[in-house]
Amino acid sequence: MRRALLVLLAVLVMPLPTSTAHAAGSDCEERFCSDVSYGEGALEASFLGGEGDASYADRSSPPANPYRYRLLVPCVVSDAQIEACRPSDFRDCNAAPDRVVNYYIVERQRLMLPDNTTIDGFVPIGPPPPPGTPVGEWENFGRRCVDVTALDPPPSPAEVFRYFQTLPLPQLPTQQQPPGDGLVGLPVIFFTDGPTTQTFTLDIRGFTVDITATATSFTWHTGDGTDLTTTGPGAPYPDHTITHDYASGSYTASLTTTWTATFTIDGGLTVPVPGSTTTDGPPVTFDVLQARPVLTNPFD
Amino acid sequence: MTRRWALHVAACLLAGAAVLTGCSEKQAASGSLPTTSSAEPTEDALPPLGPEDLPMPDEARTQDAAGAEAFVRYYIELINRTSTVMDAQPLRDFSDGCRDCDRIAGSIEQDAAAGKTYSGGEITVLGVGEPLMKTGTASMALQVDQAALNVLDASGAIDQEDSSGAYLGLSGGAAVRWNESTDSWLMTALTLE
Repeated sequence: MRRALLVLLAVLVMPLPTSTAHAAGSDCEERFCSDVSYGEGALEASFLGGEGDASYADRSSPPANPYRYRLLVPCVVSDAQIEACRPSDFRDCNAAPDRVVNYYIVERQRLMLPDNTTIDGFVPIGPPPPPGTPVGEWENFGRRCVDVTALDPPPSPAEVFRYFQTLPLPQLPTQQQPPGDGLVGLPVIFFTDGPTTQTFTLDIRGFTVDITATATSFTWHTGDGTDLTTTGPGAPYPDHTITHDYASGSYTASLTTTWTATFTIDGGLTVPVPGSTTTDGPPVTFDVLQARPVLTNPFD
Repeated sequence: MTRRWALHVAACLLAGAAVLTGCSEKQAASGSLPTTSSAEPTEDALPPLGPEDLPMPDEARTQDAAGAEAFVRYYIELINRTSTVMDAQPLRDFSDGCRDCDRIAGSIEQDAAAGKTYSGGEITVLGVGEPLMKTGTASMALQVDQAALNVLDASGAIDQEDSSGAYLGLSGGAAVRWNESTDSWLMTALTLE
């Protein structure tokens, strides 16, 4: 189930914050347990201000706050229910560059007030528990975009992806053999000798994020209108794996490299970055010549 | 098909022949006026809801505090029923956006598809608080014990990863919404932690 979710998220490139609320093991999914799981990416808040998509969450709260809140990632909730995400699970949220705003299912639970009552007259079982004790069910408080900057959530995969797209990834060069001009009838060998993995360490809002980028796809633009896509960087003769036959002429070839990545936050679990990016290497220009047999007198 | 409509159809199918007639798509027009006696309101039994081996009791189908509490207790019994029948449909039928209800139903469906069965895991209601009644809704505190649950794989061996120990004194609450079309409550939230 989780694998399906990760794959889906990777494809959709949608926001999925990493977990900060407790994520329990899977030992009570069939029933209930005290070691409850709110699902990956869930956040807890003691205060929710604003309205609708202008909501904001905080961990500090005014005195006698009548509710506590939790923010659940819609896709994670759907995955637990139907093993898939629903189209309605995703919405783009407007956010200033220095703010973290995500789309959540918001739930709230009553808290006991100092006068031993609750906000709506809900009566707990037995003697009133101390003020601030949560009572009753978590009620659905709607879906909305919530500014969770104050909750200081770890960078979400989507946020890491945004950084990943700006990294100075290698622009892998195209190498061809034979060097210089080619010959009609003699396939041109392509390969690249640049680095196909690269590691970056970033500071994202105070979190140390290690990103390991890997070149996973290579598209060779041969210059005659043909694109060859390979999963490896090729190799020089005699271990070559990528070749192309040309007609005579002058050609400019280049390589587009597709990079995927994984990341860790503060040395934690390795998680795929949900998306890929590409780099274009410098082009090379060469001629392909038509060889013509000529009878010569070896004794000349 | 909407859930409500599905429930209606299910209710019709489960009802007796007389009720089935009322649910059919087409009826011949009556050539005569109804008699006085047939126009009078009757005390017909409610169309049954729920699985045949655990139908919803009538006391859970009244729109008052007692009915709301009885429905919540009935829903807990539907969860317990899955320890003998891997059938999550009633949990879905009587859930109206209840996230944990749907989560449990989803787990049952996944386990059933994998050939797994349950042993144990019964939930015992220790107490129910006085329901807080609002227009068409009710919510109440809930406290339960939950026995250890063994999840058995297709060979009958215990799946340790999915099985869980007993949890005593889980507390939380339940919220329900009255459904006019079926004269029954629907679970909108169920929290036990």
